[in-house]
Amino acid sequence: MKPVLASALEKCQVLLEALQNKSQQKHLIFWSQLNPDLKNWNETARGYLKSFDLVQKYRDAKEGSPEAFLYSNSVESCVEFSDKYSLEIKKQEFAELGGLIFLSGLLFVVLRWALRRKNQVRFGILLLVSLSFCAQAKAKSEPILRVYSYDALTGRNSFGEFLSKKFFEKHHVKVQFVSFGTAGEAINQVVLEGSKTKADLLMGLDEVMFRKVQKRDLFHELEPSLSEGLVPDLKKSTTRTFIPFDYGFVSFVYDDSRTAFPKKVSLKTFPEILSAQHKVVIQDPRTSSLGIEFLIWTFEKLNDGAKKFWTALNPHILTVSPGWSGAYELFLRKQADFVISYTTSPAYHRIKEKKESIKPLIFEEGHFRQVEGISVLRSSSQKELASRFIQFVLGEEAQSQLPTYQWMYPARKAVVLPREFQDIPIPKQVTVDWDQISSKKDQWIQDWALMLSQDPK
Amino acid sequence: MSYFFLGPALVFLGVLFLVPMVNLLLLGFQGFHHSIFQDTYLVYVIQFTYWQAFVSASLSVLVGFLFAFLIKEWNVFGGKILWKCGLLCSSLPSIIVALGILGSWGKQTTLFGWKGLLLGHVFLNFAIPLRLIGNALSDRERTSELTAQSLGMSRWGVFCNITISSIRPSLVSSWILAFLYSSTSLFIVLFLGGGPRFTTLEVALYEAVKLNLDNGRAIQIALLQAGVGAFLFFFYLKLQKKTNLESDRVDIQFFAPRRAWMKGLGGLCLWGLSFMCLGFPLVSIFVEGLGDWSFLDGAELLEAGLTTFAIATSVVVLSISILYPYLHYLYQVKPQGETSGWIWLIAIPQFFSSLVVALALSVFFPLVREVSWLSYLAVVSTQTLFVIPLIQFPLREGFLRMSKERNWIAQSLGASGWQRWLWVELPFMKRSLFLSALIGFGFSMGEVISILLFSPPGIKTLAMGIFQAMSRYRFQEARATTVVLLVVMISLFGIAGYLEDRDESSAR
Repeated sequence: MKPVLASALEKCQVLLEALQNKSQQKHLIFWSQLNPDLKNWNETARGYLKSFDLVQKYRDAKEGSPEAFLYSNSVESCVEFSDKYSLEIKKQEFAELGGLIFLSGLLFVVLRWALRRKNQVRFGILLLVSLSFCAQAKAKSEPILRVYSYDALTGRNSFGEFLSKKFFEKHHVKVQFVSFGTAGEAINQVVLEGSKTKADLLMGLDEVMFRKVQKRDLFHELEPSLSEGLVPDLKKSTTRTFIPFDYGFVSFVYDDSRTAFPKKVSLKTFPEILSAQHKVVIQDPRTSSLGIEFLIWTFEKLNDGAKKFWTALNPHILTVSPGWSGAYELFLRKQADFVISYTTSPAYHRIKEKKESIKPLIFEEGHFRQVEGISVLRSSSQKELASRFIQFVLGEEAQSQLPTYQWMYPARKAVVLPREFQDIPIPKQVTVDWDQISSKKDQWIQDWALMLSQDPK
Repeated sequence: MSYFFLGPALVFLGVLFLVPMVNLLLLGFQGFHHSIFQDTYLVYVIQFTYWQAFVSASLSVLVGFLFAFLIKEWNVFGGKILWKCGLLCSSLPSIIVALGILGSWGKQTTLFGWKGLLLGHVFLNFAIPLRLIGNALSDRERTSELTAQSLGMSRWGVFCNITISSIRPSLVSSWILAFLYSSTSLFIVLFLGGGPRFTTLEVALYEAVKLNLDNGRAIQIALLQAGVGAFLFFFYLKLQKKTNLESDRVDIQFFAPRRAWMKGLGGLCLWGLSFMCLGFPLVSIFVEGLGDWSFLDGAELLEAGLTTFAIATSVVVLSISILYPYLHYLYQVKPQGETSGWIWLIAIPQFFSSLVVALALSVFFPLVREVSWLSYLAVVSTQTLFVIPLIQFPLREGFLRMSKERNWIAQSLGASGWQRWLWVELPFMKRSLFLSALIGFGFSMGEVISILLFSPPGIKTLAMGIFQAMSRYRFQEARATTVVLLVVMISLFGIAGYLEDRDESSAR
């Protein structure tokens, strides 16, 4: 009895949130001003949503107890209410659509009269415009969960597309990924938009970026239960507002078939092992998250030796690319021997290109671990739905697919990785002091820029 | 009456350019207690920016002058094609140019640093000196050259003492423009520069405004750039006044080669240099992009194409509807000789970096980066500010060719103002309008900076698609999209070149 009731309550909760969101749309707000009944329905729905946390407390109550009775009664009344509320909203939408069709038809007749049957093409265009207007009005009424993210997470064959498709199948809620050049740009957009932002979630933020904006109070605090089931190592990176969904280790990647190099090296002596012909392409820490992570790694791990490291590496740097894509392109074009990427990047070449020669360098000192997370925005009106989406992202189904979309390790523990991932050695992780990073990061970037602005010769 | 014609342009320029720029200036002065000049690295960046711009502009003028001389004076084989190609090269998005150069010369040698910067800037800017110097060479006053030669001066002497001084304003003007464009170039520096040693102020500005949300620093950098832009603008204006000399044209090629083999050698040199600097990168884009099209997502491409088309159409419609009445008033209503100041007023934006203008706009109207539809409006407005100075040339030429007498005759026959415009002026201006629309369309298609800065959430354009594809491990798709954009732009500029030819022949 209990699981059935619990699932009914969850469904009801999702439905009510979706309907609430729908009713908040401008056109329905306008209609609800005219229809006082709908206004009351909205208020009652808000009351139900507020009481959910209370109702959930009785979920594990013993059968027959007053709490269990209260729980089952609450669920039943909620289901009943949500059905009626849904019907009311549908009626309202229908009336609205009818009104729009009527107005469009009227406009069409008026214009046709005005044009005096001179040009049939014009009538066709007007008809199309009227129809598209109606269609647009209809489309607007569907609930949408908006996720701001970086490019690689959106678009065709991306993890984002997979998530949208599967989430819709399961919950009948559209997930719209809005893409930005980098996750940094996505967070900047949220900062700029402030409380008016349309985003419900931010996906793909790394720890460096998250810690930079953490104090801005942008994010909603999530239930700690959401992060249960994650890889234990990720505990330190997890907060109530930042839930990791994947991670990877920053490293240099090279092609074994054209560059002979020892597989295990020391970060400190890496520039010295490079021969004069070896060229390295790195990412700019001012524009790339991978670039800043590599910089942090060197300054955190090597301390005073970092300046020596960069001075020694400078003559080997072919170019400093603004982002990962440009750098990797140069590596693929065989213009550079080493590129900063992830230890898991070779898996892409193994699976997609059947190429075994791309290898990561494993450093004795350990590697910087990049953790990508997902956060719900405080301004979102669909927080419960957003939490459900996070639950879905961290679920078995999505996490098992993540490696071959993101080419990173899934955050959920006990996910079976593809064979090509299993062959890649998992490096030691360097421990970082985030307080030190926050206070010194800007100075490190400044020092780095000055060092690299010197002529290496 | 003048308010009706001049009003839209002046309001547009005032509200979207002048007022935001003055606001930026005031804000910049407020923040001077944290001066950018205290930042050692930024001081290096300032020095490097203007030094590389100086070298790039000088090289562009040298190449442009050589091309212009060989095309106009030696009339070498295929010169007309290269004359038209210049327009295309300067209108290509710099990301395409960077990709092309990386795919061609990048494979032969290490390009990053000076080599890459100079090659990229010459590719994008050589058309300015080519056009300006070429036109100055064609239109120059030749009688003094003939007189000097008849008095026994050698051709070399005539060239150094008379020809150079008669085309000097165009040499300096084109150098100023090439200098400005090189100092405000963003993507060439980002992709071909190679890191902190080869960074410019534009990159620092981009980082401050887009990645660090540090408006204070951005405003100071923008002010510095705007100051240099304003200074060069007034210098440029001064030069333009000097060139407004009318002279009797003598159509002879004074420096034509004496022997046929010299002309052949000149042609070879022209085509060799063109292929090395321009053709090789363009060919490499086609070769790499035509490899495999299965990576291309038809739906995404269509969406990007439609968005690009919608933005470009809005930009063209807005630019023409603002500029046309403005020029109509100056050339058809206002007495002649009082137009030059007004003409240069609407050309001001081109002397500033689009990033600076976009920043000024976003600081003055903060909502444009917050509300999606306002972001689109800001993209269209910023692009319009830069399209207006570009399309004023073909439109002005159209108005200059049209005599006022036609209007007077129509007026004496009782035609009203609207009738005269519809039946007399518009048919005559049709070709100029179409040419302007094509140029505006081409510019807007390749423009990325305003889209990057305002970036309405989820926006997809063809030029942006190249970046987006590259960041998804989809390099082949980026190359294929580049080919699509390149084909569209070549077609557009092909038509523009054809119309320009028709315009010239009808003028004769």
